[in-house]
Amino acid sequence: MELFHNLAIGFQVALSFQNIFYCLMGCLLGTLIGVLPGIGPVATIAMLLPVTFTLNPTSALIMLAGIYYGAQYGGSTTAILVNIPGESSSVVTCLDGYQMARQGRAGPALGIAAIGSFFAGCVATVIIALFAPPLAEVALKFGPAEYFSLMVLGLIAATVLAHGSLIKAIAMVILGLLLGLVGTDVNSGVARFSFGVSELSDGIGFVSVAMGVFGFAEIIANLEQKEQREVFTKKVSNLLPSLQDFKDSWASILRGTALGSFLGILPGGGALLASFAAYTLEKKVSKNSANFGKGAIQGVAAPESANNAGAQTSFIPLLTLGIPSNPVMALMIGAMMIQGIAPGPQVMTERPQLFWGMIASMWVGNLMLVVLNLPLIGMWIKLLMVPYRILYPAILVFCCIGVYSISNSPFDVMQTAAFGVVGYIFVKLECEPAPLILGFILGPLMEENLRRAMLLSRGDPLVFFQRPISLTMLVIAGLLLTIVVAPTVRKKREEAFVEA
Amino acid sequence: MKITNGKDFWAGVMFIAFGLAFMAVAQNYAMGNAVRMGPAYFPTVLGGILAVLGAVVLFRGFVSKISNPLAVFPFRFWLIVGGLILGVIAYYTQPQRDATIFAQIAHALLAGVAILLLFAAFGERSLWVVLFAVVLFGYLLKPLGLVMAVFVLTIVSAVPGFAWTRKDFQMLPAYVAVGVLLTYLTLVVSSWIQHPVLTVFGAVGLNLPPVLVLLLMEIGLGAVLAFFAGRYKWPQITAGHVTVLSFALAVFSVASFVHGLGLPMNVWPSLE
Repeated sequence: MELFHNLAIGFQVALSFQNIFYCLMGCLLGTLIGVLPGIGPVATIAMLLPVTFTLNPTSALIMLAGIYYGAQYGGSTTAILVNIPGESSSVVTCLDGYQMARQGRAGPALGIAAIGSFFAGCVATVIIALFAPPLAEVALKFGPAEYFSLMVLGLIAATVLAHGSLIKAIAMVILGLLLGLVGTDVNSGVARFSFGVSELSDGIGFVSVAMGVFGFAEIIANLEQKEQREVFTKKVSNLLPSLQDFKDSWASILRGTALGSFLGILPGGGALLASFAAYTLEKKVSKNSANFGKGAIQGVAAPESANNAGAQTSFIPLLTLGIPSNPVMALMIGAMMIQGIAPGPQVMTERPQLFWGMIASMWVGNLMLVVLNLPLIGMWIKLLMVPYRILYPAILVFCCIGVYSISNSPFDVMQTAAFGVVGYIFVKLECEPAPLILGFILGPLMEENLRRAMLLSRGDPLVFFQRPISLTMLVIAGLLLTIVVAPTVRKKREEAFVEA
Repeated sequence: MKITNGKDFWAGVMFIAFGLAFMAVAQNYAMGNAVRMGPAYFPTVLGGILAVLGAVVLFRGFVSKISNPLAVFPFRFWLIVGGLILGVIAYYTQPQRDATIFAQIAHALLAGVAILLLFAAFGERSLWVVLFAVVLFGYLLKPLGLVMAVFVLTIVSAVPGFAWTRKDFQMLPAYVAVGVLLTYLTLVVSSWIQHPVLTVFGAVGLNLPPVLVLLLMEIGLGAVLAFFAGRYKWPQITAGHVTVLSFALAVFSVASFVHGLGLPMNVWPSLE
């Protein structure tokens, strides 16, 4: 069996002393930032990008991946105990988790969240191992036309699945694409949109955009809101859910895992969407849907399993196609590029150690997270009591030094601050920044592939419709758009997001 | 026609402005044709689409059923104008390389005020204080060195969370002294541990960059913090504590970055 052989390679890599250590670091950091509201995996990974310069590629990616799925575990703790989502993907966990905590059942809620997450993580790991290789084989046959259509599909899907206004999301994608074009044009050598500023001829720094729009803007928005937290610090006892709890929630965990794994693979998917969808589904399926929002354990189990599954399977498009499906994956591409690895289907064949090592490390990481989260829950609760006004200057210092060290120039810091203002405006105008980041990283790639495809077809735009794979993707993209615009679905979609 | 949804209205204006600006600037480059696209082709098309989408969003601002006031966030028009004027002046009066130090400082101040004005035009106080602290850090790092720059960054950025009471002010000098001392100690300690501690790890077969050793120390410090958080109620802790504690955390981060990456940053002030 090739699969077992590959997984054996993977575990060999992942279980080396060094990689276990980095995996642990990633999971610890991920849980930490997951627990703390106001700082998410995007900002953290952006901060740590400069640090990964000195690591070897496998360890670096293992650590960064750990941060992402670790944050999904940590986010649930805050959601259940404080009624504030520690992570955006645990928004729906607040609904029932906090109610359970108020009824004195915080322990089982935390327990079932961790158990569900662990189960989902294990399944998702297997899914990646099973589905990534065949997908990568298909991807090897892709030409520029297919890549262009794939990116169109990815971006459309990302906007359709983002919440908020569809048309604003598309506009944000295009703005991102345009910002990504700033800098020297590869074909002609012209420095575009640089206004004679030499620092801009290399393009706008990806870390600057991500850190400004997600990191700084978030800090500022958090400072504007006055802090109000009610933490359940009373002893959280009896973490193990009762037999009845298991009976109530095992089906939810299964459904959440399946839905989450599927949605994670889709371009534009990931943890956030998965948790929303799982909660909605659970409410539909459940016999006593009136209980939802009043402390139903299914309302905790399903979204928590789903977000963890989604977080992990969203690595599939990254590892096989080299296309990021959400901002975190965009940062992972950045990390791979720093290491001199071109993301794409060839990663699997050229660097099996990295690929399989990373997959195996996810399973190891999930095991660690259960240990980190259940017995050590008291420590994380203590951390929650550190007020935000103490935390944010330290977060800022981390961000600033990270940005500065990219090229040792004050210009990058300045640029990040400017994107902080832009990000603040986006927040206030209800423009989701996530599509912008995706567009930003795909901008140059998209232009490159469009140019190549058009050159090969001698300027015939029909090429995108003549090649079957490309046509399929464009049709799916078109369908997605029409479905969402259709009035009935539109109403449903709005309902789903309002409910959540 | 009345604007019902201010958020949509301004978002539309923003998208149209960006779209047109990108289209306009792109006209400086070669357009090419569909077979051989020039550098202007893709941006022009995208800019056009963005402007059209912006127009749709703008239109929705008039017909939307959701109502939002036109003043979405605090916005000070005259600060923008002032900032832009000063910025243009600063751009055209860049001092020569052989200019006196006073001319350079004067220019830096001018540019700084321009940036501050531009930031201060948006949002509440926390926005421009935090972002200005960030910019200050970027520009002070070379002349003042990392330690002082981080110090400035933490003190300034902590202001929005600061309680402006007399007691805090009285205690401030003491905290500053403690902070500097702490910085110094950490740097000495961290340069010292770079060898002994690492060889211990190395003997186990773990080739750790100092970054992570210090990261572990940070987590230890965090645990101590958490311990005290449980001991004393937070309200008893003053803004002074806040500054010092966050500063200590910050210093640990700094030390880890500097020693882990071997960054060519000044740690202490340099006159060059």
